[in-house]
Amino acid sequence: MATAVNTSTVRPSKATDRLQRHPRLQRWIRNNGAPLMMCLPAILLLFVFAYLPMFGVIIAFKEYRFDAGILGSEWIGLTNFKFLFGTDIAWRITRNTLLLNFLFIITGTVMNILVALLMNEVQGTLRARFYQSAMFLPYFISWVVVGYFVYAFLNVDQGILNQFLARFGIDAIAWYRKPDYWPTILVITSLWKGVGYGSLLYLAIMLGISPEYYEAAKIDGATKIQQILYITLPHLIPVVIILTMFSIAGIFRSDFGLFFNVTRNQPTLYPTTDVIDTFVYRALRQMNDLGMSAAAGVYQSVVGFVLVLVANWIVRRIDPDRALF
Amino acid sequence: MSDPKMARISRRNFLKWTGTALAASGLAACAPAAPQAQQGAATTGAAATDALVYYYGTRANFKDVAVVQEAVSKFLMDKIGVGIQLNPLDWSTYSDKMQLKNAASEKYDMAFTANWTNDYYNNVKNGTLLDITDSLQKLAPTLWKDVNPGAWDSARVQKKVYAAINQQTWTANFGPRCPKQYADKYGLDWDKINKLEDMEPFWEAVKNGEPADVKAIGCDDKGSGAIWGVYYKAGVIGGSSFGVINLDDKDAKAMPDWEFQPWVDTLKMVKKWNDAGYYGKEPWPAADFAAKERSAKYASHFHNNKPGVEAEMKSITSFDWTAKILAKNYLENGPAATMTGVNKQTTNADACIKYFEQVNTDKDLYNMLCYGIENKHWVWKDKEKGVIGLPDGVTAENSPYNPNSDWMFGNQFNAYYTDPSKVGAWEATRKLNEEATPSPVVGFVFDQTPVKTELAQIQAISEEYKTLGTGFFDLDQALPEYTKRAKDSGADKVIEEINKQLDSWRASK
Repeated sequence: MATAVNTSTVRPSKATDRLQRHPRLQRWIRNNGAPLMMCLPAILLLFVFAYLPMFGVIIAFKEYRFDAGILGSEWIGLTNFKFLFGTDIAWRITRNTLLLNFLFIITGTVMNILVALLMNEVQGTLRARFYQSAMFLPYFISWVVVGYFVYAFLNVDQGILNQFLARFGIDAIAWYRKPDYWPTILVITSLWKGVGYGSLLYLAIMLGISPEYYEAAKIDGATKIQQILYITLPHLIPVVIILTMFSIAGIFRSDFGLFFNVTRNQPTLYPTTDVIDTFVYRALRQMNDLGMSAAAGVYQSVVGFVLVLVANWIVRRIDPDRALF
Repeated sequence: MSDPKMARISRRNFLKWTGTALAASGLAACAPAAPQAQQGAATTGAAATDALVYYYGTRANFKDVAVVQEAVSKFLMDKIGVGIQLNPLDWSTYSDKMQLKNAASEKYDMAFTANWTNDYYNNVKNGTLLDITDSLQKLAPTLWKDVNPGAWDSARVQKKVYAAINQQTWTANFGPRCPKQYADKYGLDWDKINKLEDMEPFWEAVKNGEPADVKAIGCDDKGSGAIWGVYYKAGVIGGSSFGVINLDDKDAKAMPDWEFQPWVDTLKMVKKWNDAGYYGKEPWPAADFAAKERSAKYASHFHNNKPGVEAEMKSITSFDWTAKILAKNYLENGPAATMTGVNKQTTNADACIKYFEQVNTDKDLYNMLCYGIENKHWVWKDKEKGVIGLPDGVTAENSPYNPNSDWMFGNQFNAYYTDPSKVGAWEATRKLNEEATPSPVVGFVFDQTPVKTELAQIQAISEEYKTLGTGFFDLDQALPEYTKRAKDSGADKVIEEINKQLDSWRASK
């Protein structure tokens, strides 16, 4: 009876044929079916939002008209890319984007590991859970709201910081008109928001390190610092490398929410806070030119791609086992 | 059942089905949520197939949109044989959402379009709007004749009209407006104020008499609080961000604003005011401006003081206002500020035009859209003078239908008055519109395409100097810097292109 059901409900398709001809693939699917299914939503989303739109890059090379459509619009070569280059702004946004993102990557990684180490020492206690939740909370707050927090601290008339300074007889500072302070302010804000989330991954790895290493080290008389330096940190390096590579891939893209909302898009701060994304927004908000926006996106992606290849190449030169590919 | 194949196949089936379900739900999540009114239409029975799909902005989500839609549809069915589907979208996202719909070539029939949201000129350029020059004259003759030819000119792109104009105030009516409490306290006498400098003693008194958080002149960090071009007779070339012309010169050539001496003089004057402390220590964030206004944190603000503005401001802030117009009355591209366009994707273009004729000529229909249903959303206060009010127990806040944007739907001069003090404001406004001196470039539309690279760069630069107009820059340093950077980005080329187009536009007139 089972056979009858089998033949009547399932037509042997080409796919089944292929499966049956490849027993190894069959076994692979049987073994990995569950994880595969768990990945499926993410893979689908990636396909829909990252791979399907990739064909859209041709818009960057076209004079795009809605009624003519993507394929019907006229080809104009590299004209759309021109606005990104050739002004003093081009240099400024490139410098700001790279430098600020480097700052974020370095301070972020260091602080994340540091916090994870501290957490690791108090793990299991009620205090640890409290600290962790408290630090994790800002991660869920939108940049728009964070922008208001920062404004509450820094505004010239009623800002908390200026009132604090006034107690020491220091005159109120118009923070939003002083670009020099802003790389520091942005780094602090970004750390405040991200460190709870960023340290979690490192903490998870630390919890996974076998206690035997530490026991052996203790017997040999290693200090706490030595244990961290020679046991904990080496375990973190592969993850640090992977995460840094991902960050470098995105180094030409900035967190628009951070740069737009936290600076309140103040023109006076542009010398140190204007990045590629905010410039593109400002240049094209009124012109509404899809071709030029697409050109900016393509430019960022291509540079990001090249940077990943370079970073990976460097890692492979130093330690082939640690390279991503 | 012990057949291993069976087990495998059912797992495969399971995978297949979950995969399909996931994909389906994923894609369904991508589809835009149906607007509330649309759902309302389905339940109230207006057939969607013969209803004009109409998008416009709204300041809140009113629950009786479906009720009004049904009444309007019934009215239209009798007159022009189609219903309507009202799709109000929140103002804060209106422009973005419409751009998305247009980019995706969504099928709809009509939408609100203007030079400040859902950009009209971009829509024409991108091929979103239908050319309705001829059909307007044929199917909406009353509307066509009621709007004067100069106004139609400002909606023309290469001689073609792509949207119907809603009549309302078109002129800039520039001047200071003040919360009455400050004007009274510091003895502001409009009779003695003939130019902005005459306000200086008032501002000085406010600065000395009020706490530090009350500004003598309200301003924000996006340029609000600056003096408008009409005051110093500069007409702005739309879409260029820095090209201006002399409004009093019939054959005016475009020039960059830094070469226009009245602008430079104005900047110097404003800088003096800023140094005197009239603008406060720093501009307010633009997002906070409305809140500051409602709590009377400024003693004066430069704006469009159209007839009836005092009552309008009072309805927003609930305290009294006083205002004066201090600039000559010019007609620039004001008519392009409130228009309704027909989408190229429509299959019902003629019905849309017939609808424009109806909504701009029929008071009942128009006011139904503006204020809702009589005795439900509004009641007569003075039928003779055309004044309405809210029914008992209904307030502006809890009203189920109160878009408060009559200028969006059609000819505002057909609207009922919502406040007795506004009676006569429409006639006064119409008079201002008709008496206005047309700008020498009214109807000229600058085609950005040949210089869009330069424009994008200059746009980004000029945004940095937004608060030049409120004196928050060291003028001696910032003005030459701005000039140099704009020139480096090709400002001269842009001006040359504007003048070239201006010449051929004049030749073709």
